[in-house]
Amino acid sequence: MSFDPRHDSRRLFELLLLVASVLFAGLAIAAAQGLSRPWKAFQAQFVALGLGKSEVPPGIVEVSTCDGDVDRCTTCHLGAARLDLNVAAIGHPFRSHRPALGSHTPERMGCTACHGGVGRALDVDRAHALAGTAGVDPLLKTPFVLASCGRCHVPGDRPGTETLVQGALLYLQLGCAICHSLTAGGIGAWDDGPELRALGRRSKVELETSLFEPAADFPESTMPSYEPTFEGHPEELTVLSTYVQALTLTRLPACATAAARDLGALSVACSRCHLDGGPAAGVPHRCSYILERKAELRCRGCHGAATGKNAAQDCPVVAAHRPACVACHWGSETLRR
Amino acid sequence: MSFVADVVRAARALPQNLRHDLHPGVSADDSPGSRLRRSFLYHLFPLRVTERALAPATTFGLGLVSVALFILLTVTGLLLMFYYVPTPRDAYGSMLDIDNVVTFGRLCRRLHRFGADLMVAVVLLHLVRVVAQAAYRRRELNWLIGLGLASLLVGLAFTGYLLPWDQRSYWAVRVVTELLGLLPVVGRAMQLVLVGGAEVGAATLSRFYALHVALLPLGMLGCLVWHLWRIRKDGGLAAVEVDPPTVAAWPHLVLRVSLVLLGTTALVLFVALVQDAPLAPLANPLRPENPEKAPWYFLAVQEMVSYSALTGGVVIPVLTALGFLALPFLDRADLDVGYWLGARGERRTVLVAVVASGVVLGLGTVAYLTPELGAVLEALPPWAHDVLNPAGLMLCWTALVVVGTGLRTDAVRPALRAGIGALFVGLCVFTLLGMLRGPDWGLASPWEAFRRVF
Repeated sequence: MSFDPRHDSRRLFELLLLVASVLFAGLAIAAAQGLSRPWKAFQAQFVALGLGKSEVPPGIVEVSTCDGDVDRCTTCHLGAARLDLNVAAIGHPFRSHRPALGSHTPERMGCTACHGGVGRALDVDRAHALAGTAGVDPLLKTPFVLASCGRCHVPGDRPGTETLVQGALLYLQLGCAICHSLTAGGIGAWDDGPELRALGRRSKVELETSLFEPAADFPESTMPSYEPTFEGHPEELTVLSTYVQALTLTRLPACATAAARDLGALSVACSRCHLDGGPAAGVPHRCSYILERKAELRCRGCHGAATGKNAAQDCPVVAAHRPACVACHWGSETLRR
Repeated sequence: MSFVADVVRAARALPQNLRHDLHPGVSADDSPGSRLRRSFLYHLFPLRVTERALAPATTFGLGLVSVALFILLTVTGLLLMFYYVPTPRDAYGSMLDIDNVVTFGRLCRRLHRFGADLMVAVVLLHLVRVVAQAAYRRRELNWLIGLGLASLLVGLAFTGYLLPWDQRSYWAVRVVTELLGLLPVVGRAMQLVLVGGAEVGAATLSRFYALHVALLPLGMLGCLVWHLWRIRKDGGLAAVEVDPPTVAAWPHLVLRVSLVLLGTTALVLFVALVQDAPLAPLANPLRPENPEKAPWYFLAVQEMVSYSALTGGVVIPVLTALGFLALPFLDRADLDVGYWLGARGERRTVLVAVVASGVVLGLGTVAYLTPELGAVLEALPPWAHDVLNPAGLMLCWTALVVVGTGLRTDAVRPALRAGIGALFVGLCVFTLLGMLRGPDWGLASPWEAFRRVF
């Protein structure tokens, strides 16, 4: 082996300098990336509009959400909580929220509980869960944001959840539940479609594609195209997609125990806590479906005769209607049994 | 005004005075560079090293790359510790904060994540290098320390995998702790100690965190120092020559070491600049991932367990571990130590065995996955499933390779090398196959699998 130490070490030293300069260049790029604060540009823009109550950019704004997390959306969406900026001249991200908030204000609820996205993120792509952030809840906009009502509410228990009730009825009328069963772990009576709740979130476009071209994602799918069904009824398509979107959302821990919340579980079925005559046993039934069909279901006939707490479950009439129940109570394991 | 003049004079003389006060007896013209050389580098390195040890192809600097990564991981890990909160409730949120709010947090997390993955891969290659050069001979203790280091590293990588508390990590840890429970006698107890309860939860996270930031790194630091010290004590790199040509460690070794340290850092930095560290949605114990996958370094075991829990989860891991522990005690020859694959005749035999293993195990696995053979195997009695699968094939084939090579070359070392080569090829096949697994453990297209990883 020929080895000339002097020549060799000079060459090596040059190589070392090269690697060191590459490393420093990389560190400079990393520093530029790490120190960029895209939200500051938005705040400067907002201050320049002269709409702010003070002339000082507020810095990072944090709001506690109803599930104990933190949203920083209002760092850029500076007008969201104000009522006076809902004018056409003011575009995103500064415009006021639509006034349909009711008690669901950003201060009380945060933003992500209804809209999805990543509340802790501060750059546009990540916060809105755009491309490249796969697996995170995509942003829900009107009218799909109504799907989020189902994260806390059983459809029909409050005004404002009518879309989900309509969606549940469409789901039953169109026979979706025959294959995409909402009971028994998704095993359908006729054919096994995937359980929609297990699919995870899908965007509006993905949901419509899988309705119109079921074989696009699953080549072996035997599902027919539902394009003719919705021809001329775009509003029904929206309603059904919103309902299916709602099925795939995680439940908020409003009805979860503290222990389950400590596990980090956001989707705990209500029945986990309200099992077999738990606190919910005394709550009057608000389900619009049951109330409408009271006579048909002959509740009084069963409830009068039975003594056990699970009377409703032993009732053959309720058992026959169980698919209908689950269309709304999709988080409830009591009904699935 | 003389007071002001005094202050100015004192300030001017400060550097010189400081140097004199801090290092009495050292002359002022003694440059910092030469002091560094004398007091630090000559304690770390020998005065002279063999020319062969400096040639890149001798070791490819794999051990040193691992040391560089260990330093990088320690520094970034310490920084991450300031922001990470090890409770199920806050862990995921703190990950998002590190990524989105903490200055340079995202960079730190990427460096830590990619550095860890690279370190596992590099240490594996380092192990292969030592086997292929029989560098464990007369360094039995250091071989065992090295195996300990490798296990500690896998432990560190795995405990760190849970910490983001996202869907992917949660279900991966469920898979691996269940694989651990398959081991006979000690498996269940080890699983309970690690998980700290019936299910992966708050107790698991605090245990993994304690292991990840305290116990395992300290153990690793101790073993690493021991490992490096043993290299010096054993006379540097394994070699057979008497009186080989040497050069001075300064500057030749020091330059190369600096090059490897800087180069490794630059490489990880480059990856961290272009690629985001994965973070799946928040862990949800009620909604399993499909497929649930172990981290890539455990994927071969998971794949084998999907064939047979007994063969893939117990027999092969236990035999492999025992084989590696016993390696320097089975191979007693001192010939050709420190050279890639030894003498020419043996080298060809080993290479042929490794290539043949690739063909046999690859084709065998593909055949196993065809529906025709699947239907035939389905009809066999249950016990046959433990043997008649790719993992069983790998076990039998490895045994065959060891015996065949041993008979052909009439030596222990080529037989062991060919066997380890066959095992390594098989594990690579299973890891690749594991990466291709999609929903319900069915096969997905490579593109789908790639999309899931990145």
